Amino acid sequence: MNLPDNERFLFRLVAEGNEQAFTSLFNLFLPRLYPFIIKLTRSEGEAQEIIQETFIKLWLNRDKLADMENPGGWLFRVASNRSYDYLRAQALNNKFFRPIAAEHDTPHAPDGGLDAKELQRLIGEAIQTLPAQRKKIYLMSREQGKTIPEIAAVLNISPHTVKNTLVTSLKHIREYLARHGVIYLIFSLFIF
Amino acid sequence: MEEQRLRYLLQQHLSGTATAQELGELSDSMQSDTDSERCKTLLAEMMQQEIPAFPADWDPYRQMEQQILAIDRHSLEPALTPAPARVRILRIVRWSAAAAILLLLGLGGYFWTGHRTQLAVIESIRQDSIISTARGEQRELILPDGTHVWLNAASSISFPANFAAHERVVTLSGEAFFDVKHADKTPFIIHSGPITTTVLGTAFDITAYPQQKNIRVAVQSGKVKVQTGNNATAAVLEKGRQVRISADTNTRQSDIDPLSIAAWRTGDLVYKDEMMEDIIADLQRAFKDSIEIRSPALKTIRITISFTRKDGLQNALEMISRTTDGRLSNKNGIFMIE
Repeated sequence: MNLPDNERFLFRLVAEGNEQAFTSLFNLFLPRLYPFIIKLTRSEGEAQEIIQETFIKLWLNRDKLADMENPGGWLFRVASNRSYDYLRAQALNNKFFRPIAAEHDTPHAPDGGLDAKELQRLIGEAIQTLPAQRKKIYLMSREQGKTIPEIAAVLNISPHTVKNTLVTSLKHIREYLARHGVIYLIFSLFIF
Repeated sequence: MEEQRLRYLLQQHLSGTATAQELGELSDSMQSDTDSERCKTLLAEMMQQEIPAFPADWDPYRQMEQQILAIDRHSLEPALTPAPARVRILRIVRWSAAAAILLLLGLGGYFWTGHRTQLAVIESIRQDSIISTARGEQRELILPDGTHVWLNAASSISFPANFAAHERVVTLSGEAFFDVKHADKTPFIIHSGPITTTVLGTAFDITAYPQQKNIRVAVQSGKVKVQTGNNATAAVLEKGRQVRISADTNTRQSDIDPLSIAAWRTGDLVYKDEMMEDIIADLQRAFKDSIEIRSPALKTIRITISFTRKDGLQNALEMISRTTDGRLSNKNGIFMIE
């Protein structure tokens, strides 16, 4: 998948924590993911769950995006992996033979389909456990919406240091989540 | 299992045409989880081969996207209060080639946004940027070369911090009116999907919304060259002329009152011989409400109608319903015409 320039640019911005770029990528990729996923699940609710997990994974692993050869391809892999999990769960629950699954008895993701609120709570805890300086920098980035150069200026440290700190903090958050049972968000590099 | 067979079974299952036996075979394969990597790769391929399309109901996704951003914004805040609306909601909805070309639509309609944005100031921007508007929002900005741009609702434009010496290039999704600063040897080039518009110095409007089927370029002053994907020139336009290019690269030129071009900048909704579904799409961008047309027959009816923002969406829809003999109703905040 060949990335046009502005998409590569967007991925780079998202890697730095730029929210507007995330929104742009979300709107750009949603229509590319949706048709297949809705065909697969035949349920708006299930489709939303798969799509949400895909983009949450994108956001929480954003630090890796800049180094990726093919971030767009990676996003498709995340979505299709999740689709595979869905299909397998259906197979295991003998749901293949039902024409359309009723909303309430479609199987959930292997992780139990953690919802955004629960995730947010856990992440809040994770941030709370960050060492003081890292926590401060992370919140400057997320709560105050400051860019890397802005944070560096305020704290009088190098942007490089700020960036590394943010990367470490994201890793910390992912590891915290994993320890609390949320493993699907662990970044995995797919070999194409 | 052979890849061919697996691909076949997956496709059958997805299109709902698998026989019971085929389903059984696929189910067994999935349960055993032996070929998982190959299966995942196949699924990724199949996913990318689908023609891109938006969900009918976009709202849950708008919320979803904001929720995702909020997920790591706080440290252990007790309740979840919705994130305050951000001033800039970036939305680039643009296709690059891929399977199908969803061509972008131009409407002869001009609309007005309900709320003047908080940014009364014209921004002058000097960095690599992607500037966007949400539904119901407009922005006005000055590009690094002094070109003045008015961005209509649900649109976005991207441009570099500094233009190159030999050409000035921007990318547009949605609708914008350009007042291009004249620069003798440096053409100003706009990419909007597969269409490229080249100007030397002029004022014109381009409408290129991703969800819709035509692109429209209308010239208020000066001269503009419009080309399709393979560099074929679709039109060379001067003041008072516009061209509509449809998905199958059919072009249709016509006259247009130069003064009426981009009337949305000052506030009017005017549709001349436009299709219902295009008008409704425009209104949704302007008013941010959800509107559905329930009868397929109604969608392609063409009407000529105009109103002002003061009329309000309810009245506007009532006028439209009367004109088309449709019936307007409102359920759960969604307007419906049938």
